[in-house]
Amino acid sequence: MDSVAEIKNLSKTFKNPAITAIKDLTLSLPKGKVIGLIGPDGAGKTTLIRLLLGLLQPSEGTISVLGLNPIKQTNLLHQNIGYMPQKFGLYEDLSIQENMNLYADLKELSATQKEEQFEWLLKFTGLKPFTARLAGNLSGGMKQKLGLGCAMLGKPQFLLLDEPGVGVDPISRRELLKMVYSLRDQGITVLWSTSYLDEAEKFDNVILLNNGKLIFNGLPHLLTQKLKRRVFQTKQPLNNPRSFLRKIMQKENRLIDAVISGQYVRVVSKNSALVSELSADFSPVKPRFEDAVIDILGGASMQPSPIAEQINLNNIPDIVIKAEKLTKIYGTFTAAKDISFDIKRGEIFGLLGPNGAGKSTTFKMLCGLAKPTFGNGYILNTDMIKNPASARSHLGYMAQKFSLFATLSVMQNLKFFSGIYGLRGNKKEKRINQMIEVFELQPYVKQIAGNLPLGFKQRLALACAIMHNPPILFLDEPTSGVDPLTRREFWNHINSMVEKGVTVMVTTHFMDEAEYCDRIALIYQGQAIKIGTPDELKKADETMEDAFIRLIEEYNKRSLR
Amino acid sequence: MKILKALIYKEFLQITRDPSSVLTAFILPFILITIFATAINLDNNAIETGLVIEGNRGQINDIIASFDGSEFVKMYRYDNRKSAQEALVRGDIRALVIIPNNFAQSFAAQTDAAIQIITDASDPNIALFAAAYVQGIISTAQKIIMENYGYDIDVGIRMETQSWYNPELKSRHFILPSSIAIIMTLIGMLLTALVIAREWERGTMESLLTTKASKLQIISAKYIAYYCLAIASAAFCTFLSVAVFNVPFRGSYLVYFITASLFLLPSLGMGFIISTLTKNQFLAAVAAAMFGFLPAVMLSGGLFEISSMPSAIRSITHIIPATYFIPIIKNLFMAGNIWPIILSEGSYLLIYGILMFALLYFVTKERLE
Repeated sequence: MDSVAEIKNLSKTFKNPAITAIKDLTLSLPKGKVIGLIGPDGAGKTTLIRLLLGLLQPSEGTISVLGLNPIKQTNLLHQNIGYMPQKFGLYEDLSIQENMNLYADLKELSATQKEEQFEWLLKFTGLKPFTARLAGNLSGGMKQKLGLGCAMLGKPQFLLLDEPGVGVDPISRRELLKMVYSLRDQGITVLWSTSYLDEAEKFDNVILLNNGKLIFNGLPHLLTQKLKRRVFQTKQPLNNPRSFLRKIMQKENRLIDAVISGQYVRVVSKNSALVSELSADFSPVKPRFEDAVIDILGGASMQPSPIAEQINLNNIPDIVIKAEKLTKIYGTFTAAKDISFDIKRGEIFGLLGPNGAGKSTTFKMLCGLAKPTFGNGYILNTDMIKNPASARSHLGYMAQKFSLFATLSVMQNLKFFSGIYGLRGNKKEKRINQMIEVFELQPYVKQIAGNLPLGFKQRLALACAIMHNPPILFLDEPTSGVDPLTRREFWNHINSMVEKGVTVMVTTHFMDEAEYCDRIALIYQGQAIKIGTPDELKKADETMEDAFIRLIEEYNKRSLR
Repeated sequence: MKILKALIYKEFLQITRDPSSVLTAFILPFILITIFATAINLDNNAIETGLVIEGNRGQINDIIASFDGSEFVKMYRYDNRKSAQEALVRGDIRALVIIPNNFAQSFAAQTDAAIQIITDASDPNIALFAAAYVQGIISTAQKIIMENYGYDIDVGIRMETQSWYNPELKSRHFILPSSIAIIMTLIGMLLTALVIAREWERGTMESLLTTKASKLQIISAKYIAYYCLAIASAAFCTFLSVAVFNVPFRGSYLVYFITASLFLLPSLGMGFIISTLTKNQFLAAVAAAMFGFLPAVMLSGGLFEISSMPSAIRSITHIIPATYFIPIIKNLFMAGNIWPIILSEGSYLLIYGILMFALLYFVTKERLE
């Protein structure tokens, strides 16, 4: 037998709300591979994993995992598999050692097995120096490693990971990938669901789901191949890539995707030709897996965003945001140190960095939610320490965690936020209707915001942040856990606002999104270790992720010396 | 067994790490017991009473002397009926005794000698107490007069009261045992209502369900850990009541321990069921307060007599576990081991506890749907 799981005509329907999450799926998962499970939000990835684990019962069809029936032979199955759920499944008030002890006992390991496997896993995950630390005090990357360590106890043959990379920085993700590959080399099969397509590109096999149906199953490379000679990039660096992007989106009707990449614009065409007068500026480039996924999902919307139509910004100074030696000290811990930068009008400024590097702290100081220990910040020349409230009034803020009213409906949230931002009467109603239309919220207006699919929660949050046409937008991981098509839409809206002069400060863990920024500050260990344009950060032929990792490693070497 | 042990150990670690569970199990009971013992006092040791004497005094001095000697009333003298009644209306005094003009004459003539007692019945409890105290005092005075002068005056009402179990009539003696039962409900239901919901919220339940731990083991581990916490808290409350607030304990501590354990069975079960059904800590806490704590305070018979409730409400009291435990604990404190009550109420608690455990087992799902 060379498969770990056989799925035949599998369907899964839920009653409340009535959704068919998996539709007539037939699939075989090959043994000894790292298998990626990808697809847009609500495609059925988590449902499939839970069905494989026996946590959900199939509505129709059959599943066999390791030759076992997940429903009838649950205990036997659980003995041989490892599972890491979306939030890692760790007890935050227990230490690393205690978490591992618990899960080892729950797998009924003997004392010698425990000792041997702890030794191996602690070394493997690099968590050995921290065993007494509470899981709740770990960074996202360390939690992810501990989650993997706990799932690996009992040496399962089959490992299932549900979105282990959400909110985790590229360095930690790359380390996890390495760990998973070394497990595969020991003969373990891994099923890994992810929304990072650069990650999925490296897998042995990829399963792409959309609306509960199987769209693709095979080597990622095979999917990418189809786009040979269909991906193009501008030959020369552009002065204003954003306006060029808008132009080409309007003029070239064969495009299925168009994004900014530093000072260049990258497009994917329906076929191997570009016909507009702009086509001479382009030359073909190597396709990426993400291009192929967008292609197979029907392409991104090339419609211009209507969201910025009403924006009219006058009297905005050239320097919109100013950080002056921002320093924040919590007790003995320096969360941010001497961070200085200027952000110009109409600029997209990205804050990049590993988890816990100080990005959110910098964010909070600049929107007046945390008072700097030293230094100061200015928004439109308003002193952040003296007048935080008046400085804040110019901002639209989208927090990292869902911070709308989870128990109110979508409509109630929109009404509330438009109200507190001072919109009234006819204007308010018009703007709300526009938001519903632009973000395609119509089917959900009466639904409780807390129950929305993740992608729609993010849409609603963005809608609430921009409702009052603020001249400055602060977006803290706006696209975390959002699928590529929705991310394109987000950036389409953001770009259209920026073209009207809106200034954006953004954090992200998606390296392709870093390329959309005009300038980036790489934050590491509380300091801005590098500030520059994406092209300045990258060396020739480097991807953004490579550059990110290189810069941090260089910094580590310097500080060791 | 290994799995169960690991799960119990995990629960204990979580309890000790979470300051709110220690707060709920020991600090909150300490505050509540102190409040119940000192602030809530249904006794009225010194009721402010006004006295008006119209006309001449005669033997009345003896009556006045009896008033002054009583620890139950505090005397205020008024010159006339009008000013005394005004004081009563203002609330300066809660009762008023008027010895009318013709009292001395009637007294001397050995005809009906009437004394008027007016009480402030806006608080019926106080009014009753006041009336009883004043009548008691007058009976005493009557005796003294009898002995000194050989007269017999008839005050109209003779009251013979005997107080069993609580001879000093201290309300603390019956409030504290009831409040221990209420506090045990609070810990048994509030803390437990949070724990399963927390596992769902943090996603750890999903992990547990993919290990070899069965639902029986998961539930049992929680029962055992929170039973220990609640029983420790009950012991602490009992210690406070007996050693600090001097409430007598007349029964057997072994019987107390066994019946308290029986009482915790349904309380813990209810909390866990609420937690499992809501899967949300906030909702669970509100539900536990609404369906657990408040009924235990109002309807269990601890503070308010069940027999004086309307029959519809009385039938609700049967579904509150504290209703069965309160008679046991009151008797253990005030009377001793009253076996008929311990056996009948105890067996109800046992049946109820088993039912709740079965229901919890039934509502706990091994899958996510």
